[in-house]
Amino acid sequence: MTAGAAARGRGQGVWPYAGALVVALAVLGGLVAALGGDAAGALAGLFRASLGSAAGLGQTLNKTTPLLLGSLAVLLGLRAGVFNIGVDGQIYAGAVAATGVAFLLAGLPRGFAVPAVLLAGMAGGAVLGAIPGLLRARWGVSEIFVTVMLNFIAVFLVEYLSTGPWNDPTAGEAITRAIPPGATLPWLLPQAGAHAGVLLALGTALGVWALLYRTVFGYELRAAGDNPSAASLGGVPVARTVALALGASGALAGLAGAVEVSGFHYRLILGLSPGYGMMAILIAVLSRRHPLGAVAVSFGFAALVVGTDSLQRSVGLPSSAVFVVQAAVLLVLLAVEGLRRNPA
Amino acid sequence: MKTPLVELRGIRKRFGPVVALDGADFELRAGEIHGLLGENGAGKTTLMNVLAGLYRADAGEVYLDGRPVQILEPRDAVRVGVGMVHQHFELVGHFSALENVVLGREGGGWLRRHRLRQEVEALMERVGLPVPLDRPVRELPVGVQQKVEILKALYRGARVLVLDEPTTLLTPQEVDSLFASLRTLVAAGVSVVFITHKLAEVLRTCDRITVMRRGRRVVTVSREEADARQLVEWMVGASPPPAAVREPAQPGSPVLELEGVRVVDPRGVPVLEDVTLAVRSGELVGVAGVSGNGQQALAGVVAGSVRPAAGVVRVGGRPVRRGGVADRMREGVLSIPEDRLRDGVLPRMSVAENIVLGRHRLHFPGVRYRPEVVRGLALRAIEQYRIVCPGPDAAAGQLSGGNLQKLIAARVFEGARERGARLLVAHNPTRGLDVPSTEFLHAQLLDFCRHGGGVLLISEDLDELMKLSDRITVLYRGRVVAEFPRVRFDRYAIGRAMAGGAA
Amino acid sequence: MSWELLLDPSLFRLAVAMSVPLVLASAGEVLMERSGLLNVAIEGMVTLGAAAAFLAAFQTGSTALGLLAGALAGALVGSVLAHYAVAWRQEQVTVGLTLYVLCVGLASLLYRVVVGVRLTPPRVETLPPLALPVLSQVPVLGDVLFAQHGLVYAAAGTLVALHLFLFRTSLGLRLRAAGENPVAADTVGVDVFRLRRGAALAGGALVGLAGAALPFTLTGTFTEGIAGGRGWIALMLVIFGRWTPTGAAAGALLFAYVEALQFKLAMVSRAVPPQFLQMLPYAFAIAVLVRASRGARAPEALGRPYHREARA
Repeated sequence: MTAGAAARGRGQGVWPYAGALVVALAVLGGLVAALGGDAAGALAGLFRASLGSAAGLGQTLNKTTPLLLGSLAVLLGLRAGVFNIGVDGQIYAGAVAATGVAFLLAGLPRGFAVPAVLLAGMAGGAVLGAIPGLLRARWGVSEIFVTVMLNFIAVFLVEYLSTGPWNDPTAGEAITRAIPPGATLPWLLPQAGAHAGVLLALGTALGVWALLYRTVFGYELRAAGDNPSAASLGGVPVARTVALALGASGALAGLAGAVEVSGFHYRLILGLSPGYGMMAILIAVLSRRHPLGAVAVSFGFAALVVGTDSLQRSVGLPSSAVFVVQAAVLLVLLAVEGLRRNPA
Repeated sequence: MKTPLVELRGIRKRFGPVVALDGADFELRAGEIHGLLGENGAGKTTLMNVLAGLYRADAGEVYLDGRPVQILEPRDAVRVGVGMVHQHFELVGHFSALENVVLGREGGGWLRRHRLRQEVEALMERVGLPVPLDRPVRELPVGVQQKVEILKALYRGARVLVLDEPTTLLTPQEVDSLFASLRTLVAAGVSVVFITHKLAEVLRTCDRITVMRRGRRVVTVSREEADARQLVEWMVGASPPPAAVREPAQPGSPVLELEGVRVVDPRGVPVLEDVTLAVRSGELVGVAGVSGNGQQALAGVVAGSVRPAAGVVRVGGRPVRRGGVADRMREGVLSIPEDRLRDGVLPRMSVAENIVLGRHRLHFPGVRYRPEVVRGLALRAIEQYRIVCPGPDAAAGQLSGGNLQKLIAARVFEGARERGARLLVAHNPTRGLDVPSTEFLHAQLLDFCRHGGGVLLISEDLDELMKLSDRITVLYRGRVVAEFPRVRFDRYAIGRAMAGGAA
Repeated sequence: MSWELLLDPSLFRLAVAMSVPLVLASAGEVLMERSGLLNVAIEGMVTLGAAAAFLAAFQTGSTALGLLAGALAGALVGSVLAHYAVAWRQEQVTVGLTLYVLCVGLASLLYRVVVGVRLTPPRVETLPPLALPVLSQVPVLGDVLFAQHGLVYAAAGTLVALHLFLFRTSLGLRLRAAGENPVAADTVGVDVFRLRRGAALAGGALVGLAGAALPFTLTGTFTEGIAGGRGWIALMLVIFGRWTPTGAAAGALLFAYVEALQFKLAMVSRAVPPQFLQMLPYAFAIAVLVRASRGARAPEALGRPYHREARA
C-alpha cells in the first residue's frame, strides 16, 4: 500500500494496538493472580524492570533487535504469500556464519571485521531461507515444513560447534570461545548496556519498508503475495520472486543471529534464540505485516520479555508465561476481528 | 385442460440495477420435455434457479400440481421434487459415481455399499442411465458425469428435472446419448425442462418450446408449430441493426494469425478445434458466440496463458515464443481478462497499485518505484475512465464489478499505448458496465485501431459486436462456423450461426 | 555399517515403539485435514498433551488419567482452532501458529507451576510391555510386534477404526466430501461446519493422546522439547500417506525406523559427532516431503474457509 494508505491504516489501527496492550497486561496480571501473587504490584514491577531503569531500558533495546529483525523476516515472507517458520534456524545459521567469520578475521580492526561478520550472518541465514524458496519454486514443496525441519538441523549444528570444535572449556558446556573484540558491535548506551544493534535493526526496518514500497522488486513481491494469478498475468515472475523473498527473509533472520553473537553474547551459545522465531511470527501478524508497525510491536514484546524475566525472580512467574501472554493477545484480536466480520 | 405440473407466474427478480426477470411466466406439463430457449441474459437460468430454490423471487408465484408452494431454499425444491443439473457440475471429483449419487442420503451409520449399489443400479435401469459406479467421477467423460448428476437428482425423488445448457461440453455422440436418455426418463415418469440457446436441439428433442427474451416469456409453441426462422426472430428480436459507427477500415498487415489451433482441456477434451483466423492492423475482429463455446480458450491462446495442442500462433508475422504472458506482452499482445476477480485484480492493494500492474517495468526500468508517479497515473485514469472509488489509495477489492472492469480496462489501454502494443484481446470487456462507460470503452477500442493496432473482441453481446467489428467470426463448439464481413452483417444469420444452425 | 545392524530385530522393535506418537498424531491430522482443516498448531498440541498427561499422572499417580488428560487437552485446542476457522473464518495457518505458541508456552508454564524447580526432574511410571498371549511367542515377529506396551496396540486399533470410519461409514463419506468440495456437500444437505468441528475435536484428541504417549513411553519425564518436531513430522506424514491413516502410519514406521537407527548408530559409532546423526531424521523428512510433493493430492478444499454464498 502507498504511504498515504499506510498512514491512514495506522491512524485507524491505533485502537487495536492499545487494546492489545490492555489484553497483554490483563492476561499477565491474571496469571500472577492465579499464582497467588500481587497482580498490580507485578505489573508495576514489570514496567520498572523493562522501562523504568537505565539497565532495564538497555535490555529492552537489546531484545528489540532480534525481535524486530526476526519479525521483519517473517513479514517479508508474509507479504510474498509464504510462511517463514524457520526464523530460529536462520538466526542460528547466521550466528554460526558470523562466529566462524569472526574467528577467521581475528586481528582485523572493527571497521572491517564487524561488517564482514554481519554480512556473513546474512549470508548464513539467506542460505537457510533459499532452500525452502528453491524447493517451493521448483517443486511446489510447502515451505512451512521445510523451514521447521531446518530449525532443528541448525540447532544441532550449533550444539555440535558449541560443545565440540569451538567450545570454550572454561565457559561452560554449550558455549563457544569468545569472538575477538574486533568483531564486537560498539555500544549505543554503555551505561544502560545497550549495544548498537538496535540502530541496525531500525535501519533495517526502514530498509525493508523501502524495499517493499519503493522498489520494483518490492512491488512485484507484494503483487505475488496478493494474487499470484493476476500478478503472473501482469508479467510478474511469481515463482522466482517468492524464492528471492524467502532468501531475503532468511538473510534478515541471519542478521539477527549475527547481531546476537557480535553485540550481546560475544559467543555462540545454544540458547541464543529463546523462542525469538515464534515471537517474530506473532509480531509480524500483530503489526499487520507493516515494517514500521513491527518496530512498535517488537519494542512492546521486548519490554514484555524483559519484564517477565524480572517477574520470574520476584514473583516466581515462569518465563514461558510470556509466550502465553503474547499468543493470547493475538488470539483476542483475531477473535474481535472475527466477530466483527461475521456477526452471529 | 389438465393443470400443468409446474407453473411459474409473474416472476420478477433484480440484482441491483439489473432486471433479470421482468414478470416471467412458465408452465410445464407432466411427461413432457420442455425447451427453454433464449440468448445470454434472457433470464432462462435465472428463472429456473428460482424454481430450484437458489434464488428468491422478488415477486410472483410458483405452483406445483396446481397448488402454490414456497421455495425459499434448495432443500424446499428437493422436497417438492424439483432437481436441477447446472452447467458446472457439483460433483466430488475424487469420489466414485456411486458415492456422489448417494451423498447425503446414504442412510447413516455404516455405508451399506451393497444395498446402496443395488438401489442405484435399479434406478439406472428404470431411467435408462447406466454409468460406471466405481471409478472416480473426474476420470469419467463429461457426458457420463452429467448422467451422474441426473441420477443424483433422481435418487432424491425428482419428478421435475431441469437441465441447464446440458450439451455445452458434450461431444455429438454424448449429445445423442443424452437425448435418448431423456426419452426414457420421460417414459419413467419424469418431466424435463431443457434450457438451451441451441435451435437444433430444441427442435430435435422438445415437445414444447418457450422462448424468453429480456426476462420475459415471448411465446410458447409446440414442436410441430415451431419454425427455425421464427424461433431465431423471437430470440434475438426483429430490431433493426444499430447505426453503423465504424468507418470502413483500411487494414494493414496481419498482427495476429491463428492457423489450425487446437486446445484441449486437462482431460483431453478439445475446447478449440481447427481454429483459423487473423487480425490485421487497424482491424477490429469480433468473435461471437454464446458463452461456453471455446471463448475462454481462444482468449488464453492469444494472450499467452494457454498453450495450443496443435496449430500455429503468429504475432506480427512471426511465430510466438514459447514463453507465457510476460513474453507475449513484450511481443506486443495485451489482454483484458474475463474473470476480473480471479485474474485481473490485486484485491488488497490500492487502485493506484493496480493501475500500474503490467506497466510497472515500463515506468520504472530501474530499481526505484515511485508512488507519486503511480498516484498520478491513477488519478488520470480515475478521471478518464470514470472509475468510481474512494480514491487512488482505496483497496481495489472494494470496487464494484463495473468499476473493477474500468480499472482493468484503464490499465490495459494505457499499457497498450505506452508499449506500442500491436494487439489487444478483450473478453467481455463491457460486461456489467453502464452505458456511458460502455461507450467510452468502445471509443478506446476504436481509437486503438485507428492508431494501427488490431483488436480481437470476444463478446457475448451481439449488439456490441455489430457496432464495432469489421468482421464477425462465430464460434460454436470450439470451431469457427461462420464469418461475416461488415457489409453482410445480418442479425438473424449471425444468431442462427451462434445457435448452431447452418450458415 | 553392516546388514546385521540394519536388520536387527531389536531395531524394529524400537521403531514400532517409537512410531506410536507419530501414528496417533498423523491419524488425528488426517482426520482434520480430510474435513478441510489444516492444523499447524499440531506441534503445540503434542507438547501440551504431553504436559497435561505428565502433570495429571504426577498428581494422581494414574497413567490412565494422564492419557485422558492429554487427549482432552488436544481436543480442547482443536475445538478452539475449529471455532476460529469455521465460525470466524480466520486464516487457518495464522490461528494455528498462534495456538502453537500458546500451547508451547502453556505447557511450560503449567509444568513449572506444578512441579516447581527441582534438582532432579520428577518422573512418572512408564508403560510396561504388555505381551499378547499367543502372538508374542511367534519367533522374531512376536517380539517385535506383540510384546510392546499397551499404547502400541491402541494405536493399531485406532488406525483400523479411523480407516473404517473414513471409508466405510456414512459420516466418513460426508466428512471427506466436506474437505473435497464443500459446495457440493452443502447442496446435498451435508453440514460442513459441524463436520469440521467434530473432526477438530476428535482429531485434536488423537494428537493430544500422541503427546500424552511421550512421557509414558520415552523417559518418564517431561521437558520442553519433548515433542522434538514430531508434530511437524506428522504434518508431513499426512502428505506422504496421501491423506490416509494407513499411509501415514507406514510413513511413521519408516521415520521411526530412521530415528531408531540414528539412536543405535549414536551408541555404536564414535567417528561421527552425535549431532550430525541427530540431524538425519530431519533431513530425511525434508527429502521425503520433496518426493511426496510431486503428485500429492490434498483434499481440494484444504485450508480454505467455506463461505456459503449468500442467497440472493
